[in-house]
Amino acid sequence: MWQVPGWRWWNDSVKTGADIKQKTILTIQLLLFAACWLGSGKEISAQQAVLQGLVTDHTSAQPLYGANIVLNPESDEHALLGTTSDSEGYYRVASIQPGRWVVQISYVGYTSYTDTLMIREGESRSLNISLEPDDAELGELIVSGAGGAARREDGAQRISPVDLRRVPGPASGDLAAYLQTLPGVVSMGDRGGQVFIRGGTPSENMVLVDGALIYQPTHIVGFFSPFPQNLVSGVDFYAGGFGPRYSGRSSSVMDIRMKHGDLYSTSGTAALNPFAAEITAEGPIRTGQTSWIVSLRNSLIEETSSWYPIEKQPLRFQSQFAKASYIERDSRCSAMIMRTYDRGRMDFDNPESIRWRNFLLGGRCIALPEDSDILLDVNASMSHFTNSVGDTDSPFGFTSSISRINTEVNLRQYVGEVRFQYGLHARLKNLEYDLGEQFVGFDMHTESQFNIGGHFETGIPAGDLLLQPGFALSFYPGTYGVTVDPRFRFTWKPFGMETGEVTGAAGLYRQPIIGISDMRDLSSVFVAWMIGSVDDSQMEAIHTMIGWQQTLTDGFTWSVESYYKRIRNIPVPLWSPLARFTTDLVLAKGDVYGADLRVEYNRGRLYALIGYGYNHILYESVQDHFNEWFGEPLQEYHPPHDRRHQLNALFSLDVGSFTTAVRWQFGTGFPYTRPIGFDDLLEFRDRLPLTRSERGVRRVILEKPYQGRLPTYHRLDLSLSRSFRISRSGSELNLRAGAVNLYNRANLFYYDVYTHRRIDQLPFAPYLTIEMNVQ
Amino acid sequence: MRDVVEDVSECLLQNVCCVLLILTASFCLASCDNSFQPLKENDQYFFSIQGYLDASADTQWVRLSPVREEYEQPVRSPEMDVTLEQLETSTKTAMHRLLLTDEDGFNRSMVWTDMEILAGQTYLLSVESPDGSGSHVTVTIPEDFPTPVMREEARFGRPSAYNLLISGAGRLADLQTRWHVRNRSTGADRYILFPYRGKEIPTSNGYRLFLDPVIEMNHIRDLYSGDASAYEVIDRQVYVAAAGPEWNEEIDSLNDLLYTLPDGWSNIEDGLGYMVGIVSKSIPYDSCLDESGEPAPCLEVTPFVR
Repeated sequence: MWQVPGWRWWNDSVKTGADIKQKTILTIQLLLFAACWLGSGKEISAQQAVLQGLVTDHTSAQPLYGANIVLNPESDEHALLGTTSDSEGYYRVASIQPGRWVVQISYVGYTSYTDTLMIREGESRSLNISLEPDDAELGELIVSGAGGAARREDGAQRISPVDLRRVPGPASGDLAAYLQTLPGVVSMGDRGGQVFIRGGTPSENMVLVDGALIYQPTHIVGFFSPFPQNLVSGVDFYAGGFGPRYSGRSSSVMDIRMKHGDLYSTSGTAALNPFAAEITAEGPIRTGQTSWIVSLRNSLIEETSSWYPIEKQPLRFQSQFAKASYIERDSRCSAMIMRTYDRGRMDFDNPESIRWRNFLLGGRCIALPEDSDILLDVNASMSHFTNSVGDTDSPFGFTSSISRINTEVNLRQYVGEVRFQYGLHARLKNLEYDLGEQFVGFDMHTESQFNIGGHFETGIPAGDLLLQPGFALSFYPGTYGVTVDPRFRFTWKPFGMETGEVTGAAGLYRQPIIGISDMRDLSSVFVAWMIGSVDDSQMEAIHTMIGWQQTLTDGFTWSVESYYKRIRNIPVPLWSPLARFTTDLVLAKGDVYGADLRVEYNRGRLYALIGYGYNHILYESVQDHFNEWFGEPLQEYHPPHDRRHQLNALFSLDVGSFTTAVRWQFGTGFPYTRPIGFDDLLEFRDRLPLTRSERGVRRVILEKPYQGRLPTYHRLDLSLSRSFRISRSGSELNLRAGAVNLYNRANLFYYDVYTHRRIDQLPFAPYLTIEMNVQ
Repeated sequence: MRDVVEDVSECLLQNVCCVLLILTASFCLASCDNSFQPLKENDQYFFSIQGYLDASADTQWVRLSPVREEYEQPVRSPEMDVTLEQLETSTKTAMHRLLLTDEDGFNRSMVWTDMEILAGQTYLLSVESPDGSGSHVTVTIPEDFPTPVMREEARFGRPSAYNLLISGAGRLADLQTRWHVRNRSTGADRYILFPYRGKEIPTSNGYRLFLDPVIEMNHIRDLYSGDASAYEVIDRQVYVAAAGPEWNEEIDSLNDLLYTLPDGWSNIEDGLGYMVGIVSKSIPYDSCLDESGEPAPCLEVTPFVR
């Protein structure tokens, strides 16, 4: 088994009972030490006053990310103090000298809050503020310094609904479409909805919806997901190097916060386009305190594809979402339910369909009590996912399902200037699969996994540096034992620069369950979830990354980030030149390196984002077959999601009442294994063949794995929108006309090397979206 | 220092923008080419040649076709020139092309010739396509061997078994019993083969193989759902083939991968497949006695399947 140099102690320690005991004692000591330190926090910070709180939207209680908090001293003795709120709307201003301070909290499109506070020595005061939307201000052109595609805060890119709306497409903004504009995110295109992030496969991505894990977060039509912009409050997107709060996945994290319903008035939106229809409604249950929001989305492309000069698209998706929220001044609690359904055929001539369903049920509370300095985040959730492949007329096929129950408590606390984030979780998973003979040795099974764990991370300011060491601790009874994933992040503002920042991260990321796909065929969407794989090893990755981000002038930001990932225990199919659908699995090692470059301009009426991603993925696998085939048991190859170069450009321009959005995407071709030719192989092993009558076995002569490259991908999408106000209450009619693949590029989606049948992605597809917002 | 850092980063950004523009232009140019050639150019394996030359047969049939670019079989006989040359005499003949098609449309590209194949001689089969690419294989026909003898082994209360005695055959390429049965209700003929290669026991001058027709009959009855009245046995034979030096003695131990690999065991030059020279004997699945009542070779018969 491969081990990380320097972490041998942790790995070896799971081998014996004495080692487990020793480690458990040490872990308890560490936790106790941390608890003692935290407990003494108030004493340590007794001389400093602190102001903290939550900034939210008054009508919906959405956290306002990037709100400006400014403390202006009434006397000239003290300097101006300030900060911005994070994605939970949380802010904290420390080192406040006693005295009278004018507090101003402002956010684009909201009426500013101003108050004068008398701050006493050593005081830790909570001030939770909900800002009122200001329609007059919304019309002004004000640039928000927070967020943006070229900025990362605390290692995460903060994605807002505004970002989603800028992407042209039939939906009025969707997370799946937006992600495809980001370098380092590789999508399979229009069908299947698979997203590969910095060399990680879809099953290595963690996508959380209000804390509940969703296993397949996209729809079968690649630019739709269950996350339209009118449901999303914000997304924290970590392409890698994420903190210890997120454990159990080895590639990336998308932490999606869904909107709360409007606390004061009932409103609704209905939208219709040739691809899908959707309805969203929200309103108060008890005015100002509880709210609801409901959304239904249903695809139409299967029916409307006959309008276009293309073959019928056998693709269907649905999603339903409902959420109820209870809001108080210092806390917000919600319960949500989500269901998705997708069905379709990747190869239209093949009767075999893929189906998947997600079901999520969760509850979450975030609180910052007035008399406490702990930000509390508690959630409990249940996730269920099932997918199957089969012919509707045939009883044969494969299925895989997974259920997960999760409860967790996450806390954030400051002691002086040092930030502590820590928490505990308990998770139970139940996995079932029936794979027929697709993967030899894994036919039908039911298994469960329980684990408890926690995480601990500090944020230690040291001059221009912010150091964030931490670890994730997990205990898997009966399987992996105790595991510790050390992680470290930092930010550095060199020489006190306010506009530029170096960011970096390194850490170990383990994944206790794996999703197996048949990577010989990249269009294979089916995922079999199982615990361990070939030799019950945990899949694991080491991430290292370093980046630079800088704001040059107002609205002009650029960033570059390079990364290296070392992945171990990746299950890959055993290679064989036999043309058959069953395969054995072996483990591979992977090395991924690359860099993302983003240049963003966001000022006035113009938004522009240009992103370039370089990605190099190399797998290394030892197989007896390789030895017999190529004379060497060890072969290196680029797996089928190794898109080497990506270039995306997104422009959005407001002219009068019109909004134009343009997106151009370019990607170099995916690797695939080239056949050299075909023949029919007669069998001599038992007896001489009957040369005239026997058919033989059809044989494909293959070169080394993944030596070929599919053609490059590029596409231009365009949309033009206009809003019409149709009532004094604020009801609006939005019309959006546009086209997918404006210059009708024949982008390859699927090529059957056996039949030389080619299936392309969507051709030029014009659309008109009618959207009605009723207030 | 801070100014320097800002200057450096600004300069870096300008360079980055230039690089982006160049990349964009390059990608635009590169992406104009939408052609896609999914197969790797094949300059190694031109033809697939499989079969054997049998000195005991009147007509030689060889499965031969270009290594194709499609998974599906060819729909017409491919253009190619195929010759068979006896190297000792330099006698050369052109082989005929034929596309055999099943009732369900399965095609096989064959070549055939009625050139006499002589034991102990060496033959060169060459195939060339109109574009000049070609493959060839050399096979040696083994020396002839005596007709095998079937010795009946009487068993009390049970049908007799047999001992097949083979002498003078060096490399055994095939050893099987063949049954011709007919479905009584449909009249459909069926040929059922029982391969025994590898089960023979070496003797001082050849091989011995024990054959129990009862076991084979039970298998056949199982094929008809256990109903022995559903079919009738029309004929049964024993088939023995000796191969020339190209015969791969390890062939029955090759796993699927090795067997499938193009270079694993092929003897075709610039092509795929396998070809050997054989001398075969088909005899009745029965014993014969000479005038003194001793087991003797039966008269050879025409094999009912090839």
